Amino acid sequence: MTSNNDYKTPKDRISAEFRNKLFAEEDLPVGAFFGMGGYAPSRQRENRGTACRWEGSERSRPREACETKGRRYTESGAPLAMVYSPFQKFEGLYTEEEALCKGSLFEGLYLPFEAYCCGRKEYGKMGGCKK
Amino acid sequence: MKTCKCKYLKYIQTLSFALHETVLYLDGHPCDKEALTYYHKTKARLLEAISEFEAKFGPLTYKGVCDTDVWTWIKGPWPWEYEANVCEN
Repeated sequence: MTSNNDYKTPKDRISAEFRNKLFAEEDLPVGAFFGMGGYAPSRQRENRGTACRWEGSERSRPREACETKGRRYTESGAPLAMVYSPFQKFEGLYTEEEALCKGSLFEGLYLPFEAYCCGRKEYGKMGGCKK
Repeated sequence: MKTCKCKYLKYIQTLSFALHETVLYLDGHPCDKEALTYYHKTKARLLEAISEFEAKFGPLTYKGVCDTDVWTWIKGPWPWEYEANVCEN
């Protein structure tokens, strides 16, 4: 595995450079591309979902039938959103106490749902570590 | 430092959670040396904490029963005996 995801915060995850690296990488987790539109490395293309228009049997569908230059479309013809999952590194660890409170050992996976209920501040913040 | 039962339990819970997180990470990164080191370190601390707890307060789970004469698992308060299970401070 050589993919390099040296982001600092969740917001920095999708830099153009990293995106290019990611999609040039063959050795990505297959789950990241299951049944989705957008670009996928060639190895994943063989295993992904079948949400495209093809009149014959699935077996007879040529691999290229629903692809245009590596892009894949839904049945309605609209491209799906591109989704991917960066390869995690063993870094940015919380202390055990903090990990239990935040629900993850990894800083990069602490993504609390911070919303105000019903638009009223007195309900307080929802989600996240209360400490 | 950890004198009361529930502080011990909290300590064991935090170590168990950190260990479980590491296990999930290792499922996807089986050759990560750093994660493996962390796993072994945390596991050793957890096992130590559990044996310390059991020496002081009796078995943590039914698998921790050591006594060959008495079934010690039923000694001590039941989980629903709230007052007996909370910290005094």
